[in-house]
Amino acid sequence: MLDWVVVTFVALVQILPVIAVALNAVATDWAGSILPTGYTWRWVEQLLHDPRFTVAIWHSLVVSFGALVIATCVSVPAVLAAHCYLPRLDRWLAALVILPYAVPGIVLAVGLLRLYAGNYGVVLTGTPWILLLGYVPLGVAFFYVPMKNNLRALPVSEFLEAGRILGASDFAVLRRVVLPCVMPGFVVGIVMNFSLAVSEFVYANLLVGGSYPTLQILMNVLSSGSGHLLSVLITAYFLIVAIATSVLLTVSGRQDRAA
Amino acid sequence: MSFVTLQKLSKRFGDANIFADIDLAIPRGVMCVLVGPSGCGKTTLLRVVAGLTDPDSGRVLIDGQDMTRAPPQRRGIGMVFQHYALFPNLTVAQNLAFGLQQLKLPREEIRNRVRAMLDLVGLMERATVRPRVLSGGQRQRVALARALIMEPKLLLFDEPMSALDAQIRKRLREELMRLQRELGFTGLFVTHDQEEALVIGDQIAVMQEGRFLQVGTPLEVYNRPANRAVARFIGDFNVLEPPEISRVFGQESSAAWAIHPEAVRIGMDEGVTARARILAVRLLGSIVRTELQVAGVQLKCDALNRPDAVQIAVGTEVSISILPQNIRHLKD
Repeated sequence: MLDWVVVTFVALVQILPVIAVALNAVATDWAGSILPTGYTWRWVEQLLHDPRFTVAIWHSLVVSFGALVIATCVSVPAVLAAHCYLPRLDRWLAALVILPYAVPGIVLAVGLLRLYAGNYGVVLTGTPWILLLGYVPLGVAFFYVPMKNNLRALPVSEFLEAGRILGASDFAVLRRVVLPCVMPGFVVGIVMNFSLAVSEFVYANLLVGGSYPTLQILMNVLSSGSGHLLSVLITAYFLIVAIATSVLLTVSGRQDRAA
Repeated sequence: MSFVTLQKLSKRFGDANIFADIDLAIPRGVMCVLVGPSGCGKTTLLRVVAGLTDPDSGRVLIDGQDMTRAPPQRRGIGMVFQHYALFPNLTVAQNLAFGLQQLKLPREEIRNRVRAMLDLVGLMERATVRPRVLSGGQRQRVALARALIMEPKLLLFDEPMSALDAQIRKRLREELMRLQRELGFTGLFVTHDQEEALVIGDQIAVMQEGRFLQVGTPLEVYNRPANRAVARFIGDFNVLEPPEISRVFGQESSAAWAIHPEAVRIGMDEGVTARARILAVRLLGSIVRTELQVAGVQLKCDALNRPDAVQIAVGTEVSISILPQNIRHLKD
């Protein structure tokens, strides 16, 4: 009984701000009372008719899924290769993945701007590519840590050796055995990467700003205006994250069960 | 002609010499057991035969072909790993089918062979479950079936029963021997358990510190140990050095004596004799082991646990005797 009371209380504390924002999105007026005095779809309609909204959603999805795809393609083979074949390198990789978090965001953003401003022959400033490539180093840790935890619990070398004796290539064993076994860590990595990219503001503002406005940049713009419009935007953001995360979890869960 | 031949095999890891100039010949259809204490190099030797570790020098011949540098999948071998190495995300049937799928065999053939193998190892009812829900013994049978289904020329076993309890180990040994009789495969079995080696092996190679101390049939190794190390490791012999022989039996000998515990007889005076005090009496199932002390030397004596036998109390003085033909003289 006490368990349920505690769980309900924690859930309420966590969900209450979300409910409050959602209510504010459909409130005619809300001041000095526990609940709004009236409800309206006006703010929702206003935002839906604002062209900046659909552009921001599109930009956020492009950047999030783009960064997710690149981070997956770079991180997953690197984590597997380091664990299975290059244990010495693995120690360095462990330090490397947390490096972006040890550097202040502003420093990293300035570094990325210098890197992609043509000083080294690559010009990406003002394009979504700089944001996309900026998110990838941040996202590697989200794959490395949970996948590495899963890998530590597996006798991967024995699996590879058993596979070799059974006539399978290492790739076949990694694809059919190891990867499905680390699927829980992989799914966590996907969800965390997507959440990071879709909710990130500092890098988005510093690297692309108004030239490629994302949901977070639009939120910043709206924060100086109507609170109701901002609430609609935040609610839309929550919905997008919830839907995308559910889809990712469902797809990954199906693959896991199929494997 | 032998089916598996190891010629002058050597392997080092850094400064550590694992084994040097090892020779071994295993006839076709024979189960050869590599037995020795932990760290003697037996698993490394098995891995060299499997192609999972490269030797520094020497040759591995399987069925007359030089396989020294061939990858594992070209050697026609199967292997049962110490911790089974079953693929945890695949069902029992999928684990068995995995190797056959690599051969790109038709689905129907794979299905039939998997079914036949499951039937052979008695796991038909567990075909659709994953390894984590199986008992240790069942996992071991799956691992064995996964190796056997590939119809290997040579089957390698890396201490496959070390993680199992005694009862299951005994049952699996019998099952393994039955399968070997039925299928007639050649096997190389690594263990540190002497009893297991004697029960399973047609040929036993006793290994210590990277060399073979003795290679022979179980009876040869058990009854005629080549030296002190084999006597101590395999037969649980009473090994007496010349000064101890003089003290216990009053006889002079230039060689050490190795005496089986079952060759020591209490209450008889035929052969070499001595007076001993009983230190302890322990029951080992069908055997009663009596620990004796003679002139500061401890001896073990095994006798059948007969229900009508009179138990002698600890501390009693008894006469013991050993027939001369049961004494093995050891030079090394």
